[in-house]
Amino acid sequence: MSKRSSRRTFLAGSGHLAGAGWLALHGGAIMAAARSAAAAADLDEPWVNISATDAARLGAVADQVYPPLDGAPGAEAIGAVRFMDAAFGGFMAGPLPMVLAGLDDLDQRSGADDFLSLGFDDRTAVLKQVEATPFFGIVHMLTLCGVFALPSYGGNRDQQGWKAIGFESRHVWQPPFGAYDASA
Amino acid sequence: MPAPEPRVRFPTREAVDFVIVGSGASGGVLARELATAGFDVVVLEQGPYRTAADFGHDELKTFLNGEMSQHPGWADPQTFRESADQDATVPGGGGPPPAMYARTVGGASVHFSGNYWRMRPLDFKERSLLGPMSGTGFADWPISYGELEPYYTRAEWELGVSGAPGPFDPPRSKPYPLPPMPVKSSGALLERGARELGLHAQPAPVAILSKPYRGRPACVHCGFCMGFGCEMNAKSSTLASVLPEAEATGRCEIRPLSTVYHVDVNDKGRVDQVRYYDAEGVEQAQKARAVILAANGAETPRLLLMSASTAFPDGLANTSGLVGKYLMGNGHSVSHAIFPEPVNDWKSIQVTRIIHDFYETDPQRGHYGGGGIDARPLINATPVMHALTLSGGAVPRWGREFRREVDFGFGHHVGVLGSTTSVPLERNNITLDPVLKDAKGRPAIRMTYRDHDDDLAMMKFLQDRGVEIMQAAGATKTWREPVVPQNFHAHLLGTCRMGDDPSTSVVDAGHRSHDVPNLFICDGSSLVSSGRGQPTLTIQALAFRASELIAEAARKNEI
Ligand SMILES: Cc1cc2nc3c(=O)[nH]c(=O)nc-3n(C[C@H](O)[C@H](O)[C@H](O)COP(=O)(O)OP(=O)(O)OC[C@H]3O[C@@H](n4cnc5c(N)ncnc54)[C@H](O)[C@@H]3O)c2cc1C
Ligand code: SF4
Repeated sequence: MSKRSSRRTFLAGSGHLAGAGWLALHGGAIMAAARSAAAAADLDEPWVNISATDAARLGAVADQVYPPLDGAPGAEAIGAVRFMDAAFGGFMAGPLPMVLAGLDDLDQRSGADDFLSLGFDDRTAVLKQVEATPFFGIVHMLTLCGVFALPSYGGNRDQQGWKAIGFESRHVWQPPFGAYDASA
Repeated sequence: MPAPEPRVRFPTREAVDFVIVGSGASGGVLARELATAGFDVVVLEQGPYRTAADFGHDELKTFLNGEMSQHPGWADPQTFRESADQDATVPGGGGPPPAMYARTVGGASVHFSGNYWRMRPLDFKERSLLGPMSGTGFADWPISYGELEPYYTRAEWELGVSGAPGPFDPPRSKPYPLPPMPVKSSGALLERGARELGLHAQPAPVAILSKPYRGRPACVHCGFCMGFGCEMNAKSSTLASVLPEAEATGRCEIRPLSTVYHVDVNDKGRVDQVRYYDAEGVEQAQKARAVILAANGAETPRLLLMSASTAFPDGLANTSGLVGKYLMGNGHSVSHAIFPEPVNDWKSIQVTRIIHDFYETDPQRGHYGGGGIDARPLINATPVMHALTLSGGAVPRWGREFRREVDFGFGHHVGVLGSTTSVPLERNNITLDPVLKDAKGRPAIRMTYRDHDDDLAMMKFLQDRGVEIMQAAGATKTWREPVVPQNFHAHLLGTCRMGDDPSTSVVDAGHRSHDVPNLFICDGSSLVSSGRGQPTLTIQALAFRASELIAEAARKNEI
């Protein structure tokens, strides 16, 4: 914990990411993943590296991480699973079996039903049991990457992730930047 | 714009005047100064020759994939431990390397944030002012602020710096060349809170152009600044400023993808060539009249220690035993605040206002140390990093409350950074890992580091002030990152310190090795004390000064 925190703290001064090393380990494969992701970004395209059921289960987990809110779409509708599908064919190919096992485990924990047949709050309760696992850590991270990374990676459909936080992709800005600039 | 075609290619088997190892903040200045002074210079740089056209806004490439901090040719891992009785390990999760810098032409000046502080007269003689600190390497510099001042001015004017003087600034012989950058809401809020508390915020001096300057355009406030290369060449990296001028002389060849692994000494005790792996990984050697190491405070000591020979069994230029010792990283503490109206700190550069009221050591605080406070988005400036790292109280870090916080926080967040002194300690150092090697068989960098208790106390002190300032400015919510010993560093300082006494320093006041007459060392490793954060202006002022001294010596045939 303290290790993590101090990395985060220092990052603040420098600009790198704590705990994201699995991405670093898989190096240049990101770009290849991006190309296939962009190709698969269409909603109706078949999944490439996962089954439709896995895609649905991942979508349900993604929506727990970054849920629909006040009428705005959640991670699944924003395309986080498209991003994941591409990632599993590239830099996340290694952890894919672990992720699939994690999804099966969610079904196990869902009692008589499977995870997908649970309502939103019951899914939350199941995920709370596994939130410290590497499985959840990876899906959590992939979800947020899939919502907020450049749309060319396959997620962030119609820049809906960016719209949700008020980010606009532009190269040139002019002051005033915020509501308090003039109070200097 | 692809990397420029070299104007000159020097044969490796004929001695050039100078080989410079590293093209970063210091190496770039040295190359330009020595080439314009008429010398033939080869710059060996392990990174590729990226230019403005290669930079973009891709967070996955830049942050998660660590594109610029990885070795371009092969894995080059580093290990870390807190103390000598521990086994050093490659940090788990594979996050940032313990010694973090950009491997690219221009070095870490390409992706730095541009905060550009002068040190003050006291930084050069604090040991005399405050007395000794037992068990530490607390020492005066062999030069004074007055001696370095003209070179601070040259760095500001020749690289391009925007700023305005503040109430506590040291004397300067010339104003800033460019007016300060437009204030952001984060800066305005810092200023508002400071005013409430009787503190003094001042415009942040930055190596970023507020107006077009020397053929380069002004900053367009793109916001992808810290950790990214600038697509406009508005950030005054050596890539954007002095390296093109060095090449334009026709006397400087920048040789990218060239990783130096040995500096050779002949039987007269002089260096005569450096050996390196070229772009294909093939071993090469470049002959030179003199060698200048500018590979930063981690790679320079690594190279010296790797260059051990029968004449220098403990590492080249290391009869003092201090190569790699006294590593200083500056302390950093972080707090966060949320404001009701849009701050939009994701636009423009990181920092526009700073507070230097706590710069000097104050015995009343009960510990050594001083520092500065600034307001900035930190790594919350870009969408993915914001969502992955926002830590403001939403527990668990997922679900509807988490989303609310992420969505609102992006536009309403201000981070506050405290930057502090680091006490120089022998126990904090760079050594060669006894086991781990890179793919070429070079021993890995092993960093041993634990902040001095006074450094941790100073970090905590500045964090407390930061939170007070944000509250006084009207924050609706504040929270802190835990202050704990740091385990990686982007300020790599002090590992080949300068001094007059060969038994307590590695180079003399002119950056010449005490042991090897034609070996010079000039980069972050030369610093004797750490300042209060933002060391790069001092590193580059030293490089301007060193260039003048080295050129003079070369003209007199004294290299
Ligand atoms: C994200 C980030 C933000 C920062 N922000 C600030 C800031 O706002 N203000 C501030 O003052 N400082 C900042 N810094 C620190 C600043 O970048 C460094 O202090 C400065 O660049 C150090 O200069 P240097 O010349 O010692 O080394 P570097 O700039 O690191 O240059 C060393 C060069 O040598 C090359 N090299 C190393 N070993 C070899 C070898 N064996 N063979 C060939 N080439 C080699 C490297 O690839 C590199 O290009 C920041 C750092 C980071 C990482
Ligand atoms: S904010 Fe300005 S200086 Fe920084 S990268 Fe963007 S344009 Fe360049």
